[in-house]
Amino acid sequence: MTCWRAAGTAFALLTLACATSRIPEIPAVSAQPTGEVHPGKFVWMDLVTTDVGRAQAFYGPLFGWTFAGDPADYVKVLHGDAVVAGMVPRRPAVEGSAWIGNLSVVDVDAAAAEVERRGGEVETGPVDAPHRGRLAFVRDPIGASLLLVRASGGDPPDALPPHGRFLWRELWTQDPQKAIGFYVDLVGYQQDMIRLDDQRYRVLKRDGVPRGGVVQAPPEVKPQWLAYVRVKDPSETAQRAQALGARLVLQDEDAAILIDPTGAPFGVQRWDGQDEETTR
Amino acid sequence: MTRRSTLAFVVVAAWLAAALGCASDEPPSKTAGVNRGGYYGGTIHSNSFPGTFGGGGYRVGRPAYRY
Repeated sequence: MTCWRAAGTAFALLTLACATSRIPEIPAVSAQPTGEVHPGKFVWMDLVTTDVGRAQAFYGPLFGWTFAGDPADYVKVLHGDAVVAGMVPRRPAVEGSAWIGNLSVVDVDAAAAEVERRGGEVETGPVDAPHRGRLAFVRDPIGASLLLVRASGGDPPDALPPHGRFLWRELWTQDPQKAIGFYVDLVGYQQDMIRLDDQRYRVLKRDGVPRGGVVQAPPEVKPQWLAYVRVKDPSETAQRAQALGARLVLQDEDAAILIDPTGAPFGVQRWDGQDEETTR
Repeated sequence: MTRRSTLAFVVVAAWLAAALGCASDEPPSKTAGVNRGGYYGGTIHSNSFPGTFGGGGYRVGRPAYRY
């Protein structure tokens, strides 16, 4: 009988351990419930990384971020007193680190079904995540990863982000028209083509509010949503990032693209916001 | 070995097999909903910017203009 009891206890403990290890605690996208829904807005960023400790050692001094939480489970990224992002250890420990944007949608299940119908893949979910809401991790039809979310507490209100917080998201793809067509149908974006210095830049808007950009990527760049952090001086930030172990990919007067020491791309950009009351 | 101890052995063996599976790095299954990869199970591109480029050929980041 002793053997049975021991085996039963062990089995119960194992089941509990497996269950808890599969459901990391992730925070809500808004500290306080807002009741707002902004389809097409990126409402959160999580760094899925092969090395949370190394990522903390990099982003902490670069942006003045601090961290709270278990590196083996989920780490909250704080800027001042505000929780502004998260870091997640890559499990299983396979290749790849990336900042994953959480895109607000009205109906996660319907959006995930649309992803599959258009040739993308649903990697996880749809599932209800405590605090955060209904979500699904997907790869869109052009191959870019993102999390679809209907935040249980509502989306954060639009506001100009201070330096050190996420400012902009930009889709890099070899097929902008296919990508734009998909996102227009998914979240109701409208496309706005801008010409600046003989270069074209596509802006995705929803209800007149700019939510992201689209860049024609060179063949060697894999499809992805790239996130930009607002900084005062992108050149100076890029120099410090390289000193901390990052690799510089591209730099112009107002922005730089870097690869962090764990392999995740990100951008930094100067933004004065003088043309608008708010940046979303 | 008695029948009881044999059964106990089988249960413990099954538990060990489950434990190894729980800790393995095998690809997660989306059908599990929340899987071994947490909410971010599946594949993420590595080395997504393999080179350095630019030279004025790319305009990147949020445009500053009145929408």
